[in-house]
Amino acid sequence: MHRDTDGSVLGVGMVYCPALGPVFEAGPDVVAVAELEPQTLWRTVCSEGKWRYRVDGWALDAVAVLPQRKLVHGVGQPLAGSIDDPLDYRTPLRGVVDLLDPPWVSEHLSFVRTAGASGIEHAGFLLPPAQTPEQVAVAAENIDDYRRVVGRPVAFETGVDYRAPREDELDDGVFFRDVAARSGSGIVLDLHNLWCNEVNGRGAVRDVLSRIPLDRVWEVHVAGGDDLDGYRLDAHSGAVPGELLDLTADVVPRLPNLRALTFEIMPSHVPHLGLDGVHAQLERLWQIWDLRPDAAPEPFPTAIATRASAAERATVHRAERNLVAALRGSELAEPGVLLYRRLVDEQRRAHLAQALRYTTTALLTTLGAAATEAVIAEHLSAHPPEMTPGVEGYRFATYLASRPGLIDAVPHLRQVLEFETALLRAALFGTSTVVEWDVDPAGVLDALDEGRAPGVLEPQSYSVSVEI
Amino acid sequence: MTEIEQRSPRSPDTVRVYLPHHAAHDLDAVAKISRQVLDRLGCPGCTSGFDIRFIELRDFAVDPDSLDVREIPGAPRY
Repeated sequence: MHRDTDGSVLGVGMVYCPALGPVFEAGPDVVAVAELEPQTLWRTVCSEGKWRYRVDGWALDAVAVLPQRKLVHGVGQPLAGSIDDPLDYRTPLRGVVDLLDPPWVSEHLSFVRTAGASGIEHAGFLLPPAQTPEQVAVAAENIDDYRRVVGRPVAFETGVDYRAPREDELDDGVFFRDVAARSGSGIVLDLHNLWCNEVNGRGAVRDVLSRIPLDRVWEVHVAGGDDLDGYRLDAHSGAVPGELLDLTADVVPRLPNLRALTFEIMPSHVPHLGLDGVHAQLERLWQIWDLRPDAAPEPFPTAIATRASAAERATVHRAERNLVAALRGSELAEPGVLLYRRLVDEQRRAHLAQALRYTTTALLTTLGAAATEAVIAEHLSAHPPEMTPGVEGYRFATYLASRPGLIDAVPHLRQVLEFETALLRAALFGTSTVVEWDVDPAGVLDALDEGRAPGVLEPQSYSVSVEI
Repeated sequence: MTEIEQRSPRSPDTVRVYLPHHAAHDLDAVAKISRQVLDRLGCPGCTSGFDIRFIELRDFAVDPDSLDVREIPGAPRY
């Protein structure tokens, strides 16, 4: 029987995704907290030329009725950036917080947008900030603003940074300490991030822990990861390594205000770990949770109103633009930046596989992997990242439609592309489309679902109407 | 006209696919793609790792060992 939790002390939690539904339905004794990344339920829609976020209210309601307490962990408006999200995120974010009533709200100490000649661009990935005093000032102001939006205490997550440490920047622990001190915020201590940083040559976890105010840690995140190009990746790809569980067990007794211990796993990796494997992770985390100090936590600290100067914000933005330029360039860069290039490209390719699954499969089954990847690479190099898979997919669909030679070379690609474009058009723009097929669409899609080219099909005429 | 997909009776965000004149046809595949479309459009979740979804699709659709890809006579090289 697990210890009861109430008030702001929540217990062992897990980031929510529908694939983990049976685990959440097992009840609060199995997992006490459902942590929602709210932007996973948002999509961008456009009406009368104006983009905005639309919340999937049906999916959000499904989270709200879970028997767990809720936490909200943002993944779209990170706290280190000098450029604010140009879309109104405040209204949907506040709506999610009001509905789920989390004791605090957290976001990443990263940036994801820059401003240039063509307007505000998305970086395609949560990127690490330069760890400077100017960045401390900007992050603290952003945290203050974010706190006003959500009307709750705010915590930032200690991030991963694949770049080598720089002598002209603050070390990781000092940077986190200074942001917490200037903003009055809490800390989501992501031990897997810190462990990755140590393995990859940044500060040792124990050094970071010696510098940050441990009484500001309200939540601990743990996850599994992968190795790539000689780096340890914060990939949320399965079980928490035993070494990291041991480290967590050492750290938790030192956290007087710990309120939640959260396991993170990406939905695409849930089948590999299996629900039994997830249950085993939670059982171990409950054992570690019981090691926390006995005393009740202190109240949340007083918020601090703070502002960065224009000069500080400009300095931060220059650093952001320099990193994004290095990611988009083709010249040699430090290995950590090269890794970020690869991660951004792979995330964009994943978005295309997600938003245009059948189109991508048609290309792969006919052209093969190398030629398909070359087509995608040409698109990626010519267009900056988009913030959501739907818009990224729509841009790629538009690009493919401008390549008639390519479309003609892949049997049925024209109709598959038109159909998936119609689905995206309906979802993004609310526009209905009629797609004409000259074969049975079910035959084409069935074959692609099986990972094979549809082959020659009997000519038949179908009109498919896609509406929203 | 047959509506073959409805995400939820309560959801205003249902993408509907209609096939006039083919009401009796088995269109599970079409239904599935339209059912999934809105689930595919949200912002990605938090990870700082390698997103495997394209790799999984590539390895599913193309056998990397046999490179069993149908050649298209006269098709341009890309």
